[in-house]
Amino acid sequence: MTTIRRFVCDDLFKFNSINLDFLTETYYLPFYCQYLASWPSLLSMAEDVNGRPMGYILGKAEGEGENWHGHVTALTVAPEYRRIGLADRLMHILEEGSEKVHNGYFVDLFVRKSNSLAINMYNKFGYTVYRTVIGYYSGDEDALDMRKALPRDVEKKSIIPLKHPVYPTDADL
Amino acid sequence: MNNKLSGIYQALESHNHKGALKLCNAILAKKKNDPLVMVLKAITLQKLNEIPEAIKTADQVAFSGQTHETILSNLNYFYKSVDQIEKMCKVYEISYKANPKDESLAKGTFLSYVKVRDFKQQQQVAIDLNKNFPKPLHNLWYLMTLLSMINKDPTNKLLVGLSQKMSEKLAAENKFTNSEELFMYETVLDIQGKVEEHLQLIKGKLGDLYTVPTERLKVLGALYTQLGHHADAAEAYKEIITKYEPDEWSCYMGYFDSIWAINNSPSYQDLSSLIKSIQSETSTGRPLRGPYIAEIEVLYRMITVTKQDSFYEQFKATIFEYFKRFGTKPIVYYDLKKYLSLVEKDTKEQKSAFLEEIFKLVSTDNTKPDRISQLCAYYKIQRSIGLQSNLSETEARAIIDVILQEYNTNKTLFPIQQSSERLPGDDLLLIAYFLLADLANANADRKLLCLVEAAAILEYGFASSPKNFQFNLYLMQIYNRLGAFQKAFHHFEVLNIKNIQWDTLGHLMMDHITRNPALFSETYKSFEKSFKFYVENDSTPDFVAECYKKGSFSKILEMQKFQDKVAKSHQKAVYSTERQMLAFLVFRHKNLTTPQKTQLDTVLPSDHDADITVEQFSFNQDLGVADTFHPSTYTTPAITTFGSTSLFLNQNEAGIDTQTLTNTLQYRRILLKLLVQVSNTATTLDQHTATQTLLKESIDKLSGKNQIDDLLFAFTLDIFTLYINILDLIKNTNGKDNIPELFKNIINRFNQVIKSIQDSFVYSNSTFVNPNSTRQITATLIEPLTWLSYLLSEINTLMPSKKAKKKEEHHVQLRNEYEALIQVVVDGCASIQLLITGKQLDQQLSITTDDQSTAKYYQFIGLDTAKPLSALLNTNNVVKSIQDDTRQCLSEISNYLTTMKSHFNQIK
Repeated sequence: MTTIRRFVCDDLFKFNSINLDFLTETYYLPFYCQYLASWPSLLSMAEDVNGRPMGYILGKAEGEGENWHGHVTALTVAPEYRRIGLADRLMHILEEGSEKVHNGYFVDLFVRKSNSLAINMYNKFGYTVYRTVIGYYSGDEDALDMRKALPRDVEKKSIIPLKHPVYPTDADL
Repeated sequence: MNNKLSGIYQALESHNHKGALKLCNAILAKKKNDPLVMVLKAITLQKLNEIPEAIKTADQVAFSGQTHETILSNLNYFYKSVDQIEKMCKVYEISYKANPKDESLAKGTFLSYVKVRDFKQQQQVAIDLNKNFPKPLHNLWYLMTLLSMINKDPTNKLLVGLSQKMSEKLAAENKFTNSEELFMYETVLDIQGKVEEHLQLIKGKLGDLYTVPTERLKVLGALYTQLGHHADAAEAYKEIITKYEPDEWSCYMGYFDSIWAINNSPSYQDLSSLIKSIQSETSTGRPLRGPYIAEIEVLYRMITVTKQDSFYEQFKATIFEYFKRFGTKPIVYYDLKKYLSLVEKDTKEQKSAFLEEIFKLVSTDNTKPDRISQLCAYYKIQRSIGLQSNLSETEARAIIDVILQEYNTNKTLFPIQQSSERLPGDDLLLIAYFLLADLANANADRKLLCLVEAAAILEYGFASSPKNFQFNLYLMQIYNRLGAFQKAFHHFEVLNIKNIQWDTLGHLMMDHITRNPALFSETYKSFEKSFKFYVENDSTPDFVAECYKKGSFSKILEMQKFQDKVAKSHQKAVYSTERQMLAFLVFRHKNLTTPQKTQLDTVLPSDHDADITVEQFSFNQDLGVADTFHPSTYTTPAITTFGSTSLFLNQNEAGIDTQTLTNTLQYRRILLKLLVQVSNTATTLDQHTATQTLLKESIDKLSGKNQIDDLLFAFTLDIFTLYINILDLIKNTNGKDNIPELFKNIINRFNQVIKSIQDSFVYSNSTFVNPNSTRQITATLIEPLTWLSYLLSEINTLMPSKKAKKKEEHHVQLRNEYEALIQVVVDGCASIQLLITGKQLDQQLSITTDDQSTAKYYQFIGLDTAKPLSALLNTNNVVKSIQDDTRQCLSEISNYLTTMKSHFNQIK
């Protein structure tokens, strides 16, 4: 009983029931404007039948050549709407946009190495660890760069794991 | 970049503005008028708040045909920071004219007009761009410019026709390459109501630009519906839910709407078999809710639209099935909320029977995690269908006791695994809170006790599940009601609101902290944080330009509308005015050496512009952030801000009273305007009188709702009327006869204010300070006395002293009355101080006294160990918080009154 639609500017006025959650960041206004202006098809909002915001995903398309891909910048679901498969649906919509609108080779995301819950979730969604980025989170914690190949990457080259971890400066972020 | 330049950038980045200026001047001494350094100097001067000099510096180089990207971007930054972004149009125009073959300058010119929404110029430059640099993107920019102009003036048929032709041309030339571009053609058709043409467009080759199939189908479904082709619409929606997105609720609804539009009495069997087939096809993996709730929706429509009541039992049975399947998910309540409204209309017996069936589905095994989630849903349904309404205290407490026991058991057996998670039973505590709030609202004598207990329950929840922000939201609300504003503010800080949340959630706390002297410094900080966000909005036009550059045409008008909503935010307007009002108050008390005039000189005309209407504001406050499970008939009793008109939000369940909010803002702005006028010696008497008339008119709009507010209004009006009349007397010897009467009135009003404070200072029949007292003293005494002291000090400088040789008889009389008034005020302040000091002691003593009310109170809050509640809750901490907060606030108030007395004595 979920409606998923494109994220619009006015959602910023009413996403508090999601963003007050401890782990969800409320960014500066230019951050959201940049995403809305650049990748409108990769931003989605989920609403329940009462019009109440449930969760959203913010993504972008970036890279060059065979590195052209969709990237998940933020995925968040309000606590009362968790464990109903909403994150899966939102990810699917971003993947569809990355494939059919932006014609990317893969979708990637970064997750804290310690966040086993999230890592397991992304594994279920078909993501595998491509590489470890050392000290990605303010130098305090490593990130796992997880990827899922899109149909354009026929040979699935984009997801062959790197043998060695990389530093953020070498990660072509 | 050379070392000297990077030195300037580094100095600016590290906020070493004086150092940056020194470096700029050093370079300019050798390279006079170097354009980049001049712009950096302008930026530096702006940071040093030397705005006129900064603008002059930038202007010297801005219009001499700059082409360097760094200079242009720095100029853009500078003019934006001084609110003169329109100058960038001229900068680019001149540069482009000097370099007519430079496409980037032509584009820059176009985008500079985009940023200031000068559509006419935007159109001209777009034509120019297409002529000199023909590219598909420039065609699209031209079309979007036309759409922007039509959006501003939808009646302009010429432009509409032009946009149609342009769209057709671009389509014929295959210039539309994606759905963002096609959006413009669709909009052109929509503006003209050409739905059939729009449909054909999407069905045709251009529709392929919707590369995500469901997006195209949704557009088709909506267009078919608009045209009344309901069968086709149904097919489009059906294709989505059967082929692509079996959980997409908007499409289920679109499908059902279409089916019912075709036939008001559709076949239940047909619909049911479709849904069952979707259920069957999606049965593997995680069960989807959509196909199951669709089953309930069909029955709901058979009852409410087709009017076949015979489906009601099946409807309820399907709800039970749904509960059985999804009852452990917190979302089950939100899924069922709409359908419970039917059950809510049943008799109490029927509702009880319904709830009993639900209860049978709740696991009886409290050692399994499912039970607590199901219980949460059960109690939320109970509340939602009205079975928690009008309960006796015994009935309500029986529920609360069970709830707390269940919560505690669950918490012990299943502690939080991840520190970021909530406990699954948290909503039970919210139910307990709602029940106690209901009791507090129903019984004035028990109000304080129930609220304290409710606060203790929420604190228990917060301690058990610290990342559940719902506890913070409700604790803020309840502590504000209890007068523990600092404690409320603590929970506000826990929320850690940022950026746009200052606009949408700031109202939760700002009203209260601006009335609490112990929190004035926090109020200042909050104002500063909120203004940082509003400044961010100055960059939004840059992103509108970005939309043009990136071809995100669907976002252009949307983003501009958003920009306007933030710029016109009511909350922003309130912050602006209240920041100045608070500054005036604090300056008067805390820093007597700073002339009041200095602060009032910084007040912008927009802060006191009283010519306002509801329509010019955007009310962006987020009212849906706190969870509620109330029945449809529930109305939150208005939270009265006892003793002063609410500055920020009058809220009830249905929304906000925007008219009252606007009237209140107008009243406050007029007060500020009066103060600014007093500070300006050039203000004429007529101007004072005109503003005073406005004050009276604004008071007329607000009065009659609250006795204490009315007293405040009358007192305030007296204060300014007295000032204006005395001014008239001194300058023109007019109004001699009125003055004694005015002095008498103001003394009477002041005494009434004092008496009102004394009468309501303690909570009924107790030794506890009334939760609203501190707020009331600030609003009705401290603030108006601050204005009075300022006005009297101004009068004092104009009025001949007693010893003056040249004075009239009326001057002597005036001086006597003036001094008498001051004496009354000083005595009044002293009496309130005495009251405060005495009650501060009482508050402390009351913990150990055995007077009847206190004994009753403490028995209630924890000493009765027979209650399981008392074992779990620490009501003593809540009481201590209230006492500490009150004591600290009273102490601050007393300090203010001391300063006030001294100030009045100085101007005697």
